[in-house]
Amino acid sequence: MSDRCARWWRGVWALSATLPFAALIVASLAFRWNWPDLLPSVWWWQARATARMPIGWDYLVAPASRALPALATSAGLATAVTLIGLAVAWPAARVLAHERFRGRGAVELLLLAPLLVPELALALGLAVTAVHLGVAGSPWGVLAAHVVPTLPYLVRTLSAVEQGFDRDLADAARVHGAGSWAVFWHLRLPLLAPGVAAAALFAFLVSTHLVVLTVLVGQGRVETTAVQLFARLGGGAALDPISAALALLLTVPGVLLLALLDGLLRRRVDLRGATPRV
Amino acid sequence: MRDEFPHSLPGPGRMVGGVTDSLPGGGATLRGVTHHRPPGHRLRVRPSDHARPRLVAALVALLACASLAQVQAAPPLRADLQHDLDALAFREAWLGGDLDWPAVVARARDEGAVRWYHWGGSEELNLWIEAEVAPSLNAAGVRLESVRVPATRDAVDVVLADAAAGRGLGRGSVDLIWINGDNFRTLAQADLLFGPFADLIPNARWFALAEEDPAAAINRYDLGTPTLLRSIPWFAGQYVCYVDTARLPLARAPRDHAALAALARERPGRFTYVRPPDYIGTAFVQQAVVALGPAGPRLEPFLDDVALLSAAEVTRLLEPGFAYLRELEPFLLGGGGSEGERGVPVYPASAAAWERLLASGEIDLACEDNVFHAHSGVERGRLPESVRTIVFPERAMRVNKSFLAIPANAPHPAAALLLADELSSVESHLSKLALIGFPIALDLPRLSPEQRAAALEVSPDLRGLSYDDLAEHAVPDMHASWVPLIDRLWERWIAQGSGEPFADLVARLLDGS
Repeated sequence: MSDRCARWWRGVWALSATLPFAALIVASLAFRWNWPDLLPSVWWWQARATARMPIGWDYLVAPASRALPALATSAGLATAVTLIGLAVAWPAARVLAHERFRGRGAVELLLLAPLLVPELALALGLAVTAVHLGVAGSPWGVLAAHVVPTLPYLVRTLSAVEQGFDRDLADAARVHGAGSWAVFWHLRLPLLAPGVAAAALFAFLVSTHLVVLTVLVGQGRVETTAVQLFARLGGGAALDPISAALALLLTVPGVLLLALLDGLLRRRVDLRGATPRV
Repeated sequence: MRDEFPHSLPGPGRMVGGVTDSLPGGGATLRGVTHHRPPGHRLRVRPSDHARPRLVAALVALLACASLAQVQAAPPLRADLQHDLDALAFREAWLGGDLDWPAVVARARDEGAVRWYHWGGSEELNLWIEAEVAPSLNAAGVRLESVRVPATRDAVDVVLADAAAGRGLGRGSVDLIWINGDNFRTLAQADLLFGPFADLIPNARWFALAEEDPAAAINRYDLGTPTLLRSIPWFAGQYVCYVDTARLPLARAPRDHAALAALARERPGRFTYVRPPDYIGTAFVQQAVVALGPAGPRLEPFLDDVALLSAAEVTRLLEPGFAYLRELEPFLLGGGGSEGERGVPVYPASAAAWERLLASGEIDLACEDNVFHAHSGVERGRLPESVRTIVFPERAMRVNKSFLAIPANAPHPAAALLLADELSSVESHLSKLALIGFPIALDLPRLSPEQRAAALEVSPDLRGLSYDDLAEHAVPDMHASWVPLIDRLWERWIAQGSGEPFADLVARLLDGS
């Protein structure tokens, strides 16, 4: 009974995870798809021969659409933002989780501040600063700007992760002569990896979905997939084939990262099966 | 041993020290970490808990002052000065008529690039620019960088941010913007436009621009804001509505607002319009207001600045239109379906959403600001084949133009002029019309008979209307100062269903603005 129930639930879960994607895939392959048709009345491949200009996926792979370079920009930016964010947020989270000191509340507030300010206000301020610093309109400026709103998520997640780390383990390792590198590599990293991976995924997804900040600091010249999608959907709700395809593209980097992290964590767990060598 | 361990691990220890050092409360002692601030430092105070927010504020203020001072203190370099003088000299010489066109072309080649900011949501436009505009500029030695922004407002924000950071003449990042309405007014009010260039470029001959020319008004006013020749027309809009004849026979399509109301009562829930302040929604309300005006469909009273009229006069002019829209509400999509029954009318947020409702068969009529919209919608699969354009409302189909403007701080002003000229050529307008259905913004009487014939030849299908219909029912737009008032009135009187008397509401909103 409970076995059948579990199978049923697994089915529901699988459907709810894949159905939105199925709808997007069909929409991206449609040419004419209007209510009440369950499926497109004319498909992309039926219409592309007579179209005067590239339609649907033909447009996205055409160099003029800049869709693929934008996807590369999105993925590259998000990777760099995640790495820099981890480098900044992890030490901070470690201190916030384990130390008590004067001004701790203020530091925590400062680190969370970007979440309290609306994205537009943050973006306008950062845009003027970026112009001052001469990095407006360049990927470097956008990279630096993206780190700001990802920090609160990282610090929040990572301090929870760090709080779960028992420092007596590190003490024990040190008593046995482990250096700080050995403590990090053989103890901290294997134990914290799943949590850190979740935080990294968070930062990565936040970065790939930032629009206003990217446009204002990048002065429109740094084109990401999210920006291209936003330009099409604007205030409207029409899911045309190109928007559907862009939405699909936007999920690709995140899904790839998820798969990659999953694979890495699996290997880590295998390693951890053996007694840590110190 | 105990002392070193575990709180003074090199990693976190340094970090904690770093954080406290940068705080004004650096005098605080940490467990196992000694602070490095010299004794007698003037910020060395013992912060109490309630003083902490003040300290943070002070720190932020200090940082802001420091960064400002740094920027202000940087002395201008000789090269920078030379650059500014050069930019100023070029602008003065060109606008003063001392520079001929070949000199501009030569300078454009030296500048080497031009950045055109435009709304990036139309794949047709993006394709056309890459295929048609970029190669012809390349031939002139200028590389075109077309910057596709989610909304024109973003391009204006870039210009404003550059200016706010002190990037003046020749030092910004935007060379040319496809712009109109509010966005143009913003740049004009901030005095961030390059100058009156429109009648100086060679292709200005295709436009009526002289002040005394009655045909020039549409080229000299951008939704009521005088362009003062600081922008040149590029796109000609005309508000055109379309119906799906598979659901509503063409014979039953409304021609005026009374017919529309009758149709809505007969088929409740099958009409709606875009909510202002979206441009297309505001335009629908504006048309209703003009068409139902107290003295019949007359535009004249709306051509003046609304600030010059009394609240009573404004009320008199607007009330019939708004009363009409309110009476229409129960019969809109989701509106409840009968008199007195107040449902929740669905007002789509954009023209794209409006179009989608029609394509899905939920409503019978939608409108756009492009006479070829139905054509390209069918061609790109967004609309069914059975869509036809109609005359609505009679003698009140609003026309206006959108423009190309050069910001004052354009980094490549000569190349921007070259691009503006290139985009104003007859060939460019004809190719834009033929390939992507963007209406010609040139003044047709100025074209040769052969050119006009060519335009007619390549023009896409109007899908129902004729050019005579379009010309017969066209009216210019009202003064831009009405737009914010109409938007706010709609929000209060229609969306929120305010019970306040209309006259009081108008008076209050006029006072507020």
